Amino acid sequence: MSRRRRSFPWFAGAVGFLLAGPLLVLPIRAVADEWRAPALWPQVIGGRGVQRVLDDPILPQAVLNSALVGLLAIALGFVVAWPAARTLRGSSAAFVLAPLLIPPLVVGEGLQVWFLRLGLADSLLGVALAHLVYVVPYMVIILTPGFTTELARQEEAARGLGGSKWDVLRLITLPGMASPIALALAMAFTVSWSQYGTSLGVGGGLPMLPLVLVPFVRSDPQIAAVLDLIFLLPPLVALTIAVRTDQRL
Amino acid sequence: MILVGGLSLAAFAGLLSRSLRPGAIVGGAYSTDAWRRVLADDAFWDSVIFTLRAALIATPLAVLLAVPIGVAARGASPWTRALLTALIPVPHLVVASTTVTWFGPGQLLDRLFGTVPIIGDRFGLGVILVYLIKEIPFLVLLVVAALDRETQKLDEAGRGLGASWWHRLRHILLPRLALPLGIGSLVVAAFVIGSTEVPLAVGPVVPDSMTTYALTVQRIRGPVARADSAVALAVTTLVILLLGIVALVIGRRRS
Repeated sequence: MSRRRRSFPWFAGAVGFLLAGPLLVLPIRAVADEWRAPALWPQVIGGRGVQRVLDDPILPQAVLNSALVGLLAIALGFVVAWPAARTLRGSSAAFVLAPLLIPPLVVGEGLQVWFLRLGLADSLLGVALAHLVYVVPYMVIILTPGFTTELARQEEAARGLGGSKWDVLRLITLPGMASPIALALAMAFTVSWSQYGTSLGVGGGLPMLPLVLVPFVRSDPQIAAVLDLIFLLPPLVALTIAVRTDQRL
Repeated sequence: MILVGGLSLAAFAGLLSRSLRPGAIVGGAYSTDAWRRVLADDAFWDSVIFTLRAALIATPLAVLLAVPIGVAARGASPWTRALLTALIPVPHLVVASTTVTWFGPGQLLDRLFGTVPIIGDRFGLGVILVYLIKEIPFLVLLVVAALDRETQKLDEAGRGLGASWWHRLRHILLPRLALPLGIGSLVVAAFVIGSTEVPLAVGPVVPDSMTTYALTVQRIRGPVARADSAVALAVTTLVILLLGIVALVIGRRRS
């Protein structure tokens, strides 16, 4: 008689909480107008941090720039990633992931040399193009498992029944790929949204969310926490989509 | 994918060009001065030691911790697994910022237990901690994926044949985990070596990491700065490339 396999889900849960739980301090830190040592709870709760972010001439622009670049990057990235994911076969996966190993600052500073000549440096389009180096691999890896043999059979059957290319795409492929597409877009946006090195190299002086956050991390934790919470919105969307559609990140 | 590969190669070519022709944008002459200047700079070698030390400590430690956590997560509910992998999409910078809120001087753990001097320490403990927190979930995901139904069947068969847990670990589980963890380790090491924002947020002012050295020279060396910075970044890329080649050779030999 075989014994039951031992597993310790409580241990995994405890480790998960230990790793992700500390993020719960951010909302408290964001509204802690006064939180002096040795107190373990803020002395004054208020909206100073949010107000400072809203009143700052650069911070709202940085959030807007990051959002625009993210949208541009996922739009361009999807056009590249969709056909690549459709045709990707086993051993090509390693090739797809290879660009992720290149340091983002290398991509940013290196592409800046060429983008200066092309007039793309210091522009949102240039930054979005540089982000493609990291956005496209994530999209391809998430989209690829969606192209199952079952989906291919359904597409084939629809074509056999006289469906046009557009009909097959609209009625079979897109509904069948809805979950992977949603996760790929959310994750790709998150990847672009998080880029520090590429944005710094190609963007030059353009304010972007990660670039404006770094100086506050040690100098003003309250503003850093407010920006962190804004920073966390796209990853939360990606995580929600992954859990609700039972997909791996 | 040609576009992505092309952009990556163009970036590296751009760096080499800038390091060898400092005035390349307006058509400068070739010169190896920047390479000689950077390779003779003690601060650069300090940054190499700092970066490689952080990568060599954070990567194996993350793997060692991820394996038992991944094994434990096999029987976990989807929500527990979601909690365990929740940090994967979270930006490194948010994790670094949260770490400062807990571990920074005068912050929460300092108030509870006294000084916890890891933010900004010269050894890079803050950087190592951020990478452990951020990369363990990624490696756990790889472990859970590798411990699929087929592996579980082999494990059950081994147990049925009377193999001890050590034998099953050595001859069934570890061989199944070797490839995903090998690739995962390479990714983690590359992330640690290539990161800029994490050492800027939680690392020391001196020494720099290899990438923050590139930013520091841009700030302090005036007209030659871009070439020197390009050299530091080119060396960073070559180090990661070398790691990739070593991993590939080891992987080929094992298979």
